[in-house]
Amino acid sequence: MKSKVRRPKARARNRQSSIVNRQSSVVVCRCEEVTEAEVRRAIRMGYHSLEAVKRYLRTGMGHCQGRGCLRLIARLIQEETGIPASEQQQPRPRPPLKPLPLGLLGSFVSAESDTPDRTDKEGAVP
Amino acid sequence: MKRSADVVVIGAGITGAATGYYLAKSGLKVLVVERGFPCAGSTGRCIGGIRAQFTHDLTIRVMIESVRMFQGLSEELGEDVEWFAGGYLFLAFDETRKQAFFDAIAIQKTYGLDVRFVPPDECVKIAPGLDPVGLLGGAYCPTDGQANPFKVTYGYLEGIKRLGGALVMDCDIKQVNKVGDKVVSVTDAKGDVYACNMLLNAAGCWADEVGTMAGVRVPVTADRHESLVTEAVERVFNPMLVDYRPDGCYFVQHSGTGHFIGCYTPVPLVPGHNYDATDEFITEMPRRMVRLVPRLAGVKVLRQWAGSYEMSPDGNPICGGTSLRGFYVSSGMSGHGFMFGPALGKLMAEQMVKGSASIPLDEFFLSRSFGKAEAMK
Repeated sequence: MKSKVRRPKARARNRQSSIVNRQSSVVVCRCEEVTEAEVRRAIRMGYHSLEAVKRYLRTGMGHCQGRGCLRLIARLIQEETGIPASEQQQPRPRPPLKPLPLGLLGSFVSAESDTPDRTDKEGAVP
Repeated sequence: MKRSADVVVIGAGITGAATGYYLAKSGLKVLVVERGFPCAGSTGRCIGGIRAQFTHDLTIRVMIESVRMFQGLSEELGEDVEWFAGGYLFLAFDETRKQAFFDAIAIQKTYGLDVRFVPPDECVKIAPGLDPVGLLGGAYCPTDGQANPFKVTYGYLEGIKRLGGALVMDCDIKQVNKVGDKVVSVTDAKGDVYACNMLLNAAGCWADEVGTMAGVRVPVTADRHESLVTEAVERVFNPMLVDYRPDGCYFVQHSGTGHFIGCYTPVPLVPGHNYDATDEFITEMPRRMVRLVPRLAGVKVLRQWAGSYEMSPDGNPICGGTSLRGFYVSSGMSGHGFMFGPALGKLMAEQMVKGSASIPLDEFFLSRSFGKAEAMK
């Protein structure tokens, strides 16, 4: 799967950036405290998409919701697999785009909301 | 390209991963094929609750076994799956529900489950911060708990690889190939063929699509549910709270990280796949959570998402063989696939290898009549 054509380009870019270097203990996802070495290991295990890395390591699931780490991880995937960052599927952005308190969000509906009584078959709870 | 294995498992969610693991452990070569990536479907969207508080006899038995297996799962898989016995506390705000709890507890106790009805003041002790206004009591089982669905599923998949099996991602099965009345292989969208002696349909909400390819309909439909997760905070309480009011909700604080994670069942139900997030949920769910536990008002929501329950007609799993020889199904988990994972995976593996399971699964067979519904869905 590794593309020999693309790797030199990726390396050239890395030389300009001090963030990404091999075998690094640099924290890539600060919210969930995931290191570059952990991300590379996951990619080498076969989890070579942003979505799979996210589910394996929780990258992008913390406070910043991936703003800080997704681009870095996309570059690591590009380096490891040759799949260009621009062609990788991005996790779907989810509201609220900035963390908001439960009390504030809940205040947008009144306590006497017109939630209908349960009349149909009951759904399941986890 | 052509590959072969003793068993091909379609779907790398909890059901496929766990069943595949126990099949591999029994010495079979297992190939798990996944359309997307592991946990891309319902498993990766669930909130991780695990309970034995049900009313269907077989479900209770299987879940008691699953809880037992979760207790030792980190050791089994060599991966901390974040199992935590925080309990489940179902809450009754009306007499009908309270009586239903009494009925359920009576059934559960016959299987030796440590479950009891607790009065409102004890509910508050179990879940500090709970607002007891209108509360008539709860059904509490301290041995219920939670684990991390990602850790468990990836743990099982890595286990399959260690046992000589493999996981193939981006593998969209389009065709089930038979010779006579026996399944022989599957073909994916790229034209790759995977030959097998046995084929397991663990495609979750898509089980009917896969079944149809083999000429075996699986009565599973998708129900849309939404969830949210908050930032991590210091420990507030241990159990999963289930508020059974028509505008109730259920949520749990993640044991390892401190995030609150929860959802509610929409009224009316929303059939079909739809992963869009709604404004209604992101306002209504916080209202319900803060009504139940007012001190959570300042805790911030990080993310909301949606997922599908794979509903069977009676809310119980659909497991076992089919009219096509070598073709098995394990789906229809109706919102409980993750918690069923270890036990049903092991039992299904027994069913496939030996033709019977140590806890007989007959009542979950596809050939059953889908009559009596689970009361503690």
